[in-house]
Amino acid sequence: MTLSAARAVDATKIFGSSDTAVTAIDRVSVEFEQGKFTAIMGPSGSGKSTLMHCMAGLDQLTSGQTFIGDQDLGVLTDRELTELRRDQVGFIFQAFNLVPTLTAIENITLPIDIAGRDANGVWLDSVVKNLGLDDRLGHRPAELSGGQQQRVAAARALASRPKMIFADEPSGNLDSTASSELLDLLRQTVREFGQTIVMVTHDPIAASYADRVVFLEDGRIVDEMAEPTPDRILDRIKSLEG
Amino acid sequence: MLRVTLKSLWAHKLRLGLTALAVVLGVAFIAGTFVYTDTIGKAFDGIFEDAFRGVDIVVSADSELQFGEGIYLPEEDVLQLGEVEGVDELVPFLQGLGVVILDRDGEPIGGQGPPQFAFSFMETDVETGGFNLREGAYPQGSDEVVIDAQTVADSGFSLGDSVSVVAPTGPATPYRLVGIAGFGELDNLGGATSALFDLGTLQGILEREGQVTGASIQVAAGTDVDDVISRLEPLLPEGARAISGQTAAEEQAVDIQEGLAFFNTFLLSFGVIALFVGTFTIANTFRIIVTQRTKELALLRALGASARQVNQMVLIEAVVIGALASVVGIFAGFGLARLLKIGLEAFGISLPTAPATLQPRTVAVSLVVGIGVTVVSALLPARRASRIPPIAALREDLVTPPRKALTTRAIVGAAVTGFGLLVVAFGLFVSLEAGPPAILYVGVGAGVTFIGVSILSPLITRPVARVIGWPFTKLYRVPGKLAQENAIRSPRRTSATAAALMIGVTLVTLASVMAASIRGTIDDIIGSGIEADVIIRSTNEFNPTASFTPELAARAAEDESVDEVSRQQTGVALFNETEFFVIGIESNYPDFFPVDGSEGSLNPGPGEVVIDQAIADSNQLTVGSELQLLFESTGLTSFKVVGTASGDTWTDVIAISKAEWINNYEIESDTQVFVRAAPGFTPEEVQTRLTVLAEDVPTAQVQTFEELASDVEQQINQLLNLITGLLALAVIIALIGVTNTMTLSVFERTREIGLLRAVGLSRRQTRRMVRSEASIIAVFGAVLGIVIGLFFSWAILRALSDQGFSAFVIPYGTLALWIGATALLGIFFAILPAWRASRLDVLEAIAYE
Repeated sequence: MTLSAARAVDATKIFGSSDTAVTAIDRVSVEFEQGKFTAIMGPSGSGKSTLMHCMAGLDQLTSGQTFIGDQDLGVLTDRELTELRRDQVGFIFQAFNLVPTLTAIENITLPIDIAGRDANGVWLDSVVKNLGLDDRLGHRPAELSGGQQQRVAAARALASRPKMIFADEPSGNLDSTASSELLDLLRQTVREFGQTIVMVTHDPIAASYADRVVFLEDGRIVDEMAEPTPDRILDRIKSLEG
Repeated sequence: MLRVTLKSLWAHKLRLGLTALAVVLGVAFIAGTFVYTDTIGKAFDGIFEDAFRGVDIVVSADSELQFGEGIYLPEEDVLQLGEVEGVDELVPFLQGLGVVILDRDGEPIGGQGPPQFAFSFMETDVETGGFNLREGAYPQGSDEVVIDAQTVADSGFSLGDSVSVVAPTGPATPYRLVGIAGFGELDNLGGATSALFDLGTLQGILEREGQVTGASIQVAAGTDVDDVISRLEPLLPEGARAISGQTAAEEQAVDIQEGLAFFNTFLLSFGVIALFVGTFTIANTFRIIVTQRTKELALLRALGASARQVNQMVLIEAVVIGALASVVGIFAGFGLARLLKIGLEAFGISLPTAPATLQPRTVAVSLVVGIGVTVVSALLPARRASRIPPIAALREDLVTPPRKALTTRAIVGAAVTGFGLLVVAFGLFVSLEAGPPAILYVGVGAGVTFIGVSILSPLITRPVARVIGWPFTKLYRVPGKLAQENAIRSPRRTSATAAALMIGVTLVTLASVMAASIRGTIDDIIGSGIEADVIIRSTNEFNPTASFTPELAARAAEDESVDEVSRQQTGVALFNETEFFVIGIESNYPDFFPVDGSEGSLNPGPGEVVIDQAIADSNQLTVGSELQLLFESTGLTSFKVVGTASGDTWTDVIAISKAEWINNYEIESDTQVFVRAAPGFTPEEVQTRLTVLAEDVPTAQVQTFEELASDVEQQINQLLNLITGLLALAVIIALIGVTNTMTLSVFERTREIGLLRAVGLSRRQTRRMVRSEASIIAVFGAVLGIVIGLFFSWAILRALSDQGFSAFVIPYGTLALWIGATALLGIFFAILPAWRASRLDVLEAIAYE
């Protein structure tokens, strides 16, 4: 059987109160398997980002539970959540992924440095090499292209060998070449290193790089698909809309 | 446009408050100074109005001829004026200084600033507002005294007690306290102690038999005061004049106002420094705000606002902030005036008080200065705002108007700094002789230098901040490293924030180095310049002419522990219309004070004078020349220069023989007695023996030179503390600048902080990051300030080297302490922004859409 790297149980998040309350996710239960690349898809406002934030310990549920491994995030203090994010979760955001004052390599080792640990040299080397960043390590973000910046972000997410990587529209700001390069790399890390990645996107092409797609609408999981292709995804979206 | 400005202001109350705070503090200090000095001025006006109420005419020595202890008139001549037609009653009066009342433990009361007065006090038919008897009886006969109510209350005397009083020339003598007097409604005369005797007794105490200082006259009913004055005038003794009581009150008030004006200027100069620092803080805050509002301003441009309108919008904002802050500052000034009073009292300066006074002038100055400073500070940022292109509204990345190249900055900065230093040098080396303008040159030059350095400092921010940040990277690792990088990333912002702090630290450094160097000079003198072991001097360390009975020197000379004594008298005389201390010396004086070099004789005889070589040089005098000294008692007297001397201990010396001195000051008392120990006796042993001999003269103290040095050191330290305390305001305003910069930086870096938090930076690490950056900025300012301060003090001491400042001492410990203190203060003033940073909502920070 496959182990779950992260899961949500009856996860509900309501923003605001009484009259203005908006239910962002509504009793969502979902499991993300270890060593798999999962995409969460859905239109704007479907709650996909909220689900990711809650699963990554960035936001708190109104009710229900989320787990990273066996750890229930709901019982953790702010400090413990911070440490969990630092040690067990990696992030790739759509934009502003990097600290502008730090060089590429400093950005990559940031979570490790924050923890005050030494980086695993061999692992770091192979990540950097795999992402094609060898000759860019001394550069600051402003001196890197958008694609390179996102690859640095990916390297950072991988560097500490986290249980989970959450990617929020990682290719959203990239042109198609850089975009496919990045998504290829993400899929490769899942295949070769057994990394678990959950990616939020609304782009069917990006989602097609995943092993599995979960469809979200109005805060609920409405469907899911294994071995997706862009066409199948598009069809599914159309049928869901129809 | 105005509506947009006001709405935008209101929407950003934090921004408003941060900018306003610097103005509020500066204006509060200026308003507070005015309120305080106006209040004291009013209190003094009240005192003099009271003093001359009911007095029609005052006869006294012409005040323009008085510069020392006062001029005395023959009593006989003054009493004759009572016969003049129209004079109803004439009351002669006598007043003197340095008459010391002893407390119940036999210790002198007062002498720590305000004078120790003695007055004649008699029962008269006329009611005057001067001293009036509150309790008991008027003093009559040689053993009775009346004392002011405050002194009585402070010392716990009661009527009938025996109270010892020490005259300048005699030992302590007991008097019976027969009455308590008030001065009008006041309990004392502005902090002074007053001992009141009948005229004859006081003449004896002051050794002024047959002399008075003046008389109060009451004219007969229905007689015109001016008529009586004109009849009095031909009969007045030489040097005396008759004026109406009203004129006398006004004159005294004017004297006090002039004294207060100096005090006022002294305090205001610290207010000006604080506001100058404020302009840096405000300008920097405006600059950051404009950068942050680039999008908003560009949108206005895109919607059709002209560059001029955007410029005006920022300036109107400055006017509104300046006006609001000034009003708050004026109110805060009232509180500060109270604090000032408490603070100065803590330094032993106590002045009379009245209800707090707010003059229209105070309000006007505060508003003009407050608004002016804010608007001037906003001029450059406003210009930058007007240059934001409309396209900036549409672009993702921040488009900032092109900045001047670094080479331009280097050239402009160097030119401004150079000009500033030139002005300072001009003030120090060229016009120092001229007096006050020199200080103005130095002040303005220093201000220009500060601006120059602040233009230059971004060029060195990178390397300096790296070095300063290094300990933080070791201490805090990642947060420290991030702080270091953040301090470097916008060198202009960092250095502009640091520059404000630089100013205060420069001045503190200057004061510390000057104090240390003066101490060093004194140590040099005492260590090598004086061949004496023990000194006897007055306990009143504030008055260089305070004296005591010559009996002490005579007793000391007889003691077996003493090898030799040398007596010195000190008095004030005018030379070239400038006040100088003229000392009377004995023939062995040069043995006690070896010279570095001399010409002629160092032993002045009758009609002869020995002067400092520097005084001789600047007045083109040589041995054999004549010089004239103006004494209060004996008028203009000619002396022949028989010798000149140079050396630390001869600085500013004008010395005449003891006999000449006694002739011209009409009093025999010593101000200092230098004692050399006999072989086999240590200075401490001599001190112990002489202290016993001087027991009945509590106004004199016997000290070893070590003690003297530490006494002087203490006084210097007190002054240094006072100045440092007043400069604290400038430092605080600069530190508020640090708070502003960090608050706005945190706001600007919301995204980045969110990202850091998301990838695992803890709240505590976030706080450390912000606080460390603030600390780096603060230390950067301190380092700049110390460097400039050292340079300035070196230049000033060089310029003053011919005035006896031989040492240039760097107080390393104090300066290191300041670096440490600014590091901590930087952290302290960043607590709030650091807290805000750590509380940022991570989700909001990383949200985009």
